[in-house]
Amino acid sequence: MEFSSSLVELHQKYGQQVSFVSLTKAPPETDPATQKPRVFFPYPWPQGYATSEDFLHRLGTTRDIGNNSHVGGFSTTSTVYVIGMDGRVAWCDQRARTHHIPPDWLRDDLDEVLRQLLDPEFLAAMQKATASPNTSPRPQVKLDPKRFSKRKQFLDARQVP
Amino acid sequence: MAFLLLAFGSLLLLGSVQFLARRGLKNTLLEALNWISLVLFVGSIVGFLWSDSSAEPEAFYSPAAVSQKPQDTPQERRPVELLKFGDPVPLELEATYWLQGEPPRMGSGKIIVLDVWDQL
Repeated sequence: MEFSSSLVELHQKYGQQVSFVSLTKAPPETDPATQKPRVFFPYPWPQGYATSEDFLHRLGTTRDIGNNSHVGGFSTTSTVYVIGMDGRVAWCDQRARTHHIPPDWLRDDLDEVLRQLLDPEFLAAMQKATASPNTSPRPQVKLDPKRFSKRKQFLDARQVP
Repeated sequence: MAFLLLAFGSLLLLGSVQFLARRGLKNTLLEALNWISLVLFVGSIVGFLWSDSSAEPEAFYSPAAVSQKPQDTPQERRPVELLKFGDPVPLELEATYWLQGEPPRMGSGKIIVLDVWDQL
């Protein structure tokens, strides 16, 4: 299964409560009939194209590929971030697709992360932390190492944090 | 190089014919040789100029040019640091084109899944 299918599946599951957005440095395709830009993937959420290197760098999703003029000097590292209600990073897939993590593992991780983030207790803890950041620590999602043992073994073997 | 030798040879022939003509020797053979050497000379010069302009640039193969190429540039260096847990994300996502709607604003009270992807 492609990860794009997993994203669509998760959007169907959580789309009422969670916003999805895609971003890429690639320009959009041009519709030959209308000559207007069109999306690469038929995702039902906003998709940003031709994002600048500078902005992708600010997101930590670039890598320098040297002075090879054929490929433009930098590339994007495909990454999924989950951004909390406070606009801060709640979870990151650690470039799982770059490390060829099987898409169903990544889908399971993301599913569990979203489930926890939407849990009423977690939401209450988040609101408390936002209201008084000095006294209440920001809650963090936790993935059960037993449940995700395969993923952990895979990442450990590749020495990916 | 062959064009230059041909030009030199035809010039010698032309000079010899002209020398004999000035000495008063005139006949059909000399007249023909005169025109042939003239055509050969002009043709060889044109040929030389054409072959020179269509040749591969010398710098492409020269050792000096090769040594100036980046030798130690790795194809892929380490990626930049990912944002960590708790790091703020820019409030507004930037892109030249937005399709399928406007992007959500960060920190607006909704959880956001941000998928940054690269062309494969």
